[in-house]
Amino acid sequence: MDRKRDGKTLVGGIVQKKMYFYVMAGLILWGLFVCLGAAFLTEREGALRWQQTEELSVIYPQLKEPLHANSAYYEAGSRKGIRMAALCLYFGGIAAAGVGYGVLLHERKRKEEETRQFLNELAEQSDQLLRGGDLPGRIDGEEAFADEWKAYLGKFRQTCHYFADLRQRLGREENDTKSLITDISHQLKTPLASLRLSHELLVAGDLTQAEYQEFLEKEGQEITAFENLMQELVNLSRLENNMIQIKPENTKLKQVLTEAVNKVFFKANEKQIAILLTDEGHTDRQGADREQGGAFDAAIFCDPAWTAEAFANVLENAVKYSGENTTITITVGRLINYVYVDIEDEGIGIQPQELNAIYKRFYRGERAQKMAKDGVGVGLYLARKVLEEQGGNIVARRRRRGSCFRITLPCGH
Amino acid sequence: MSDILQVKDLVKYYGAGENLVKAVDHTSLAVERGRFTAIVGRSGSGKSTLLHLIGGLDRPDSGKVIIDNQDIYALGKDDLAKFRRRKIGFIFQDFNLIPSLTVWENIVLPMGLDGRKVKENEVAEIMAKIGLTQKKDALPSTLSGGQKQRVAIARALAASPAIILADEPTGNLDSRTETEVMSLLKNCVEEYGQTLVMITHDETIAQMADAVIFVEDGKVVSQS
Repeated sequence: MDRKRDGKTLVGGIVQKKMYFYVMAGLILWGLFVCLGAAFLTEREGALRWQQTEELSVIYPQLKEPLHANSAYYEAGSRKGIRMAALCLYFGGIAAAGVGYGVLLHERKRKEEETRQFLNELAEQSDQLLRGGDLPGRIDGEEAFADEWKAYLGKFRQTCHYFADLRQRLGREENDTKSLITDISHQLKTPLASLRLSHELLVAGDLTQAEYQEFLEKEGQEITAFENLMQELVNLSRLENNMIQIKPENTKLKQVLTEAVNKVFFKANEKQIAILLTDEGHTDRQGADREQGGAFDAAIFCDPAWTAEAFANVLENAVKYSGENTTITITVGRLINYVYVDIEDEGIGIQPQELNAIYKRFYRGERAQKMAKDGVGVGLYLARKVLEEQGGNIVARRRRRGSCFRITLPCGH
Repeated sequence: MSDILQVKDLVKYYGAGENLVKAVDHTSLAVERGRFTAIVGRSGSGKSTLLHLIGGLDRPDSGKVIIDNQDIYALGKDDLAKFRRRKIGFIFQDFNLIPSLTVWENIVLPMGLDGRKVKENEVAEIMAKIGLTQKKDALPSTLSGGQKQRVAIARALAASPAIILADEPTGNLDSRTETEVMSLLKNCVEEYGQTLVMITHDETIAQMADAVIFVEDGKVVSQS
């Protein structure tokens, strides 16, 4: 029912109702005008003729009778003609208006039918969409539709795409959650198993004092590792569930980078790894931006705490997967809309086939697993997520020795 | 259907006999709406031919390319040209800007050709985002490579196509400019909800993509 009403509203927009009134009024006015004009002309003609008749009657008195009769007859005939003409015009006008109205009705009915068909089609297609089928394609004869309908169709399609995207996103999110749960439970199993083993050995009690002490110590280590793992997983799942709000603000690259380096400083020191900083300054040689100072002092737009965490994750990897007495070089530079931070190490490097996989959740490279037992494989995943969330990026390059991560972040205002 | 692009069993061979080059050899792939997909391959792997076929710049020997529900090779020549103008944005390695037109004119050109009304506010917003506002009336010859490519990006975005195809967009740029241009491209595409398909031989910039497709000898060898 609603659909029908909508159809009428649509047609109402196309055929204007006021048109009937104007057409009718126009026709009647025109008829009146013609009749009055004709009457006026006939009267004037008649007056002229009477005058001539009078003059002729004076010259030919014997013809007075027939001349008068002739003029009277002519006058009557003219008047009758006008009356007939007026009647014809009047009825003709009505007939024309009737025909016009009929055509309009017919047209209206046709449009209404067409609209109903169009709307039915749309309804059918949206039903299909809601049931999860394919998105509607083209509607037959769509090119012939009025522009108004094409606009409606465009809007409808937009809505369809929106829903399809939404459905896809929901599906993807559901899958993500499922795989996150699977991944996490998998990650928890291994340390738990080794904890249980040392615990069971302790409970069995068939141990020397030294062994007993050793297992206790090991258990302690396991618990610490487990706690670290839990902390990382909690961070991860919070980020995944958007429980952590990343709030970009204007801050200094210097501040964020210093915080990140502080986080890994002790670990680097233990391995005698030096961390060097190079400032490449502004790239734009034409000096389009008059900002003074190097890139290290540049303003960036990001969440300081989370961005420092992202930098620290990359630095931590650099420390973890490098040998003793090596160097980590941090190079900063200012581009036009971005700053970049290159973090280059002299470590084990990344295999070419692993370049695309390293950002995957819980992915750990083959050599990385051999080199360091602890590690969950969320560092780079988290870093990339945090950076991309803020309009930044991270890419890795292979170097002759080790690897180089280039991180970009948008400049501050 | 939220695959905006579907390539079905696409074939394009050049030459014959011993000189037969299988540029695209029964390739099928799909690209999701709103994602950034990189097609990676060495030079000569047929990736450029593949992109040209996807963009309707060439005709395949067989197979289908479906963009936004439309099998593009079922269209006539004129209709294909119209479709291309309306639905596909291109970003080329060598920028393809018209030398005699200003930056602004270059950006609005595709819309003008299509007889669409230019929404000046939107274009100005894109230009500001990409950092071109001051270069609005400059001629391409006065711009650096990075600036030219930024104009090309703005041109592709302004026409709000269904899909943007980029062929080695940073091939002619130095490493730092590449970083700038790629970051801009990626973030703008995300912001405007656009779909981007990029051809590259560089696995480093491919890391920025949401999905990576590797091609070798005209075939898709892996997808991740």
